Amino acid sequence: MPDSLNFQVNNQSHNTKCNPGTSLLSLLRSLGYAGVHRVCESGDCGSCTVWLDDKPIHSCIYPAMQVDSHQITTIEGLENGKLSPMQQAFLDKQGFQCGYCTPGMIMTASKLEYNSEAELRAELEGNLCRCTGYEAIIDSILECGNDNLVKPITAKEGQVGKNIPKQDGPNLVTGKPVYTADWSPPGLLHLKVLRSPYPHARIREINTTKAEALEGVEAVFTHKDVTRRAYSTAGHGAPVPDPLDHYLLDNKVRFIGDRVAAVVAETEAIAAIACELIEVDYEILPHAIDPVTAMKGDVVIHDEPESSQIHDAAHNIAGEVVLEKGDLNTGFAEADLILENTYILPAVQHVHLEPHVSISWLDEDGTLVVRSSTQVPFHCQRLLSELFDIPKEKIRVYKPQLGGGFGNKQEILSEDLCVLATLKTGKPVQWRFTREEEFTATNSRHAMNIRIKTGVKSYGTIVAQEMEAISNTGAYGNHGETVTFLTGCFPLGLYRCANQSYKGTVVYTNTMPAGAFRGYGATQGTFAMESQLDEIASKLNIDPIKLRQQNLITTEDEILIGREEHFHIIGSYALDECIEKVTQALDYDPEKQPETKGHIKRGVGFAATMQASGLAKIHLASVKISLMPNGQYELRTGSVDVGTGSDTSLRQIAAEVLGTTVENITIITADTHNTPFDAGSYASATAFITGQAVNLAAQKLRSHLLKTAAQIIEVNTEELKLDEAKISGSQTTIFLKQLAQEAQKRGESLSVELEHTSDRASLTFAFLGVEVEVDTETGRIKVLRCAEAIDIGKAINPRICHGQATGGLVMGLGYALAEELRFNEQGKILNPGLRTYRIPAASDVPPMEIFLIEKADPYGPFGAKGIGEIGTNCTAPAIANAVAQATGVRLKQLPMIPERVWMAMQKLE
Amino acid sequence: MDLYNIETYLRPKSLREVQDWQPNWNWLAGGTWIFNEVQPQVKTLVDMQRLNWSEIEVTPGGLSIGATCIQNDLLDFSFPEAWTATGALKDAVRELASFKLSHAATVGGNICLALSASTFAPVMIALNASYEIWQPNGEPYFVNAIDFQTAPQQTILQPGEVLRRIKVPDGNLTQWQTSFKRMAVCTAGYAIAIIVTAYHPQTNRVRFGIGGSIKSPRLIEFDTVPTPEQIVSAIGAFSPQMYIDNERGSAAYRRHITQVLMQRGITELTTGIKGKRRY
Repeated sequence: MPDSLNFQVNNQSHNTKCNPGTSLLSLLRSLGYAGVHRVCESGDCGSCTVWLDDKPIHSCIYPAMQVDSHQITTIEGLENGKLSPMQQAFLDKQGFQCGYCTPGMIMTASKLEYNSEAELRAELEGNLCRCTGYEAIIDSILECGNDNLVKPITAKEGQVGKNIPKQDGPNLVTGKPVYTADWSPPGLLHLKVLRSPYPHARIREINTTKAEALEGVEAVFTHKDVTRRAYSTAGHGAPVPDPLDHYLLDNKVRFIGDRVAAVVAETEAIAAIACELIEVDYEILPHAIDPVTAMKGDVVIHDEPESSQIHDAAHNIAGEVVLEKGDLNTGFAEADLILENTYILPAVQHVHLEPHVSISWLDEDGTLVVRSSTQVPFHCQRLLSELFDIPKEKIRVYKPQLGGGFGNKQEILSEDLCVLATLKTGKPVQWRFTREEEFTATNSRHAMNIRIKTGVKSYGTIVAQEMEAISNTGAYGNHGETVTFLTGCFPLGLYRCANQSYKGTVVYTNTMPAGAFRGYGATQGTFAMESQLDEIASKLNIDPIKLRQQNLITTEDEILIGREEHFHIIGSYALDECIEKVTQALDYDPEKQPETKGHIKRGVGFAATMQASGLAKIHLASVKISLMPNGQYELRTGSVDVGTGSDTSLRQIAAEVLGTTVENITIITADTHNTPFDAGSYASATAFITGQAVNLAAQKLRSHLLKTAAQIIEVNTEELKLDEAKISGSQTTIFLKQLAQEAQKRGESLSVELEHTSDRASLTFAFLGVEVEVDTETGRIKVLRCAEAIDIGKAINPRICHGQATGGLVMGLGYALAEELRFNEQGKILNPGLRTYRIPAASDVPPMEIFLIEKADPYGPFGAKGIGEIGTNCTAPAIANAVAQATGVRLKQLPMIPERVWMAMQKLE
Repeated sequence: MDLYNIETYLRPKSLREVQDWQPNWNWLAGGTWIFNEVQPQVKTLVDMQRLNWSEIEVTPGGLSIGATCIQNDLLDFSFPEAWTATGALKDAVRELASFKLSHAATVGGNICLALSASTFAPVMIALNASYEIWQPNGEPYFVNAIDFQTAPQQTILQPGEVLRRIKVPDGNLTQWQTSFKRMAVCTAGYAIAIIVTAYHPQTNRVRFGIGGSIKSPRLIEFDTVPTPEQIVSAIGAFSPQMYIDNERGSAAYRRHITQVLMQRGITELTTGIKGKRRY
């Protein structure tokens, strides 16, 4: 080890040594400065920003060896008895969601100079946020120094429908060690995985001797060390709908990046070096990257007999979806215009800023504990129990604060090998994915080719729709069929049509698996359908808004095709109002010709979508709510706040029902040993299903409290009223504290626990419009402004809902204009980092007007519907339609990068 | 990121201390590139900080920039007013990446890395810079900026050789107006074309430094302001193989953008209507 380093962090002196290749980020984290967050590791995202002698730098690319005799300031050093003005501004304006980018944002923003909002956005180029769409962040920075006194909202004002601040805010703006990797038990070992360099190969021989001999290596595991048991990483409830085709470690690899062996060592560095010492003799097999080639069956990716629930393994078809209604031939025979197009959708990555990370250990009583960044602790517990033959009650899975997930943390990717290593070594083990692993060895959105053939009457009525999707599920089939189902069912279901058919084919290829991703297949289908209808409108010379209005389903329509029983229903419906708001906001005039100024052309475009709230009948939420001896309430739920603020929304619901404020509701969540079961955070379910469970449980508790109070103070229940502090009748009053203590004396429980599934999944609708500018010389598309209206039922917390809308919209902007995993002919991903895979930065985001249209849904709590996913679906098709209006060019492939736009315009000429 | 393979860290105060240059050694200036991706071939980092090569000097002959000059120091430096072309140096800093990166990144690091997307290479070519290279024995020699880079991430530097300073002649700084134009697939990220235009209003001479789109940066010069046709024909002199053709952009598109940005650069300078740096 080289000379020791002397430096100061937050005015505290440190004298330490480190390996010469260490980054300042790792040095700071090893010293306990957990507010310095590790995300991109390449100097692109700014989450690790610290000040070096008062100048902000990216600590992930700063050599620790150069820190000698310098002064470092981290987020932990900003507080000086009270929050710094910038921290206070982020708290006041709630400039965060998951909070993982927040310390870096604050450290950067505190040192920014700018003269306008545009300059501010440009200066933030080196700080990426994936949750907020930047709006709340920009608001926070602009408001810094202004006194924004935030008054608590009283019980009298009510809690539902109010912008209650997220409860985790103070921790997030101060960089508290709240995320999974910020704490670990002593004696921690680190796990790293050797990954396949080949797209398809059988492992003939694997020699781990050299790796095991390296000092500091505790153990090396290969397929020889595990029971061969097929499972799915999908993180679904049992019985799982996915192919069982994945193994802890296998004798075959199916994509570049697939797991080969796992090393557990004293440090990540030793584990990484040991991985390189493992000798593997591969029998290289022919591979298939393209789904159409794969379906020929010349190469069989899952030829192992142990895998099951695969639709047609011999042809690499993981799953198939067929939906039919009416008769296509009759429909097309009636049509005046038939339009057929194929749309090409890329694989894209979630880019949740916090990577997958799990820590496992054995508790004193032998319980296996898994601390993990997961959206589905209970499904994870069940899977681990099955994989390792341990009773569920001997496994505790819990999640700390989550730094984003977007579906990728519904997948169970890091817990399994961690647990294997803990069980084999008896020691605590952590496995943290690198950013490159996130890009190359987790999941993507399903790449799809979607063909639509539509028949319409000359006056615009749709008479036939035939849709076919070929969905690339990659090497494993997790979520393949369920995602591909939504690709057809929502976009087709949105438009009334007597004759429809959909076929979705889910195909294995030797590429990184696709999996769950916000929007879940509907995003892909929406791009195809909304582009298709826009082109039809233009061909028929009908206003695209009118054409949609003419065909959109209404409350009177039966909405699904092909399945006798369905659970998606229209509870509340305000799509017509959404359209009105958006067209008004953009001053839409169908008669207006698009503007042209030199090489710049402008146009407007629109898109509609729908997405269900949760999964009917199977998405189970249980909650327990109790009046505690201190007179406050405790709410326990297994649900997972991915960073969205759902914990706060759930407290609002409970507080509203119990006539109190959120301050009196303590929430404990997402812990298999300490909270009742919840399916987890996916399918836009938390507000609609867990929220309703909380609503029902709180109502039940209220009745129970009134009844108990009535007995104690000997009056009729009917005359009693519950408020924040007490239960009162006309004459007598009992304080909640007294009530709790009295009940305790009498041995009566003041707890209510219930389970809830919804018989229906209400549909949320949305409509979005954009105005774009196209540089016809370069092909660059710039979105000038956009407006989106979401038919949300009821906004439990409008600011949180707004954040979901803007965040989803901007994620859709990346999908539209920039994001694409690029593969070579081996299926190797060519852009596995945030410098080459660009997600939208603050300067890419146009002004956004969001309308939350509230028309109460009969099935959701206080009329609320799901909002987590829907915002992502409309951005890409609306932009494509606006480009078509501006230039006449129809872009059928995403992302609409300048070169593709330019090429399309060349063809037009 | 952490570079697990690094075993040794050297901090020489002079070149004499690093005579026995090994193939698995690597110079380390600001580290912003080296620490941004795995470096499996590197075992030793040779930190240049103690060489004290970070000066910015105004000399009678022109500008001299030390190899390890922090990029942001160029933004803060007061150049002689007549040196209007120093605007291009500042643009190269601003267009590199986030301002936090250029608090640590060095001018020489960007040049020696020789990425096709280097923001400094086309600037140095447009400004007719030359590079002072030191051999391991301390002997210096000069090379023109145009001759330095031979291919993406390849330069004429031999093992152990190092860039000591960059010299820009006074004649290419005084009265020259510059414009910096770049295009990337997204609004940020690696450029697929960078055009730095230098224009001398009194003589009408024009120098285009071209980077990003081609495998090594090039110069196109005109004695008078070129017409669009002249730009097309000048670019036509580049062989199609000179253009980079990869997943970020095809050769045809890069060629097209090169021409568009040249046109926009010269239009901006001759009309005085300031346009954007990024498209």
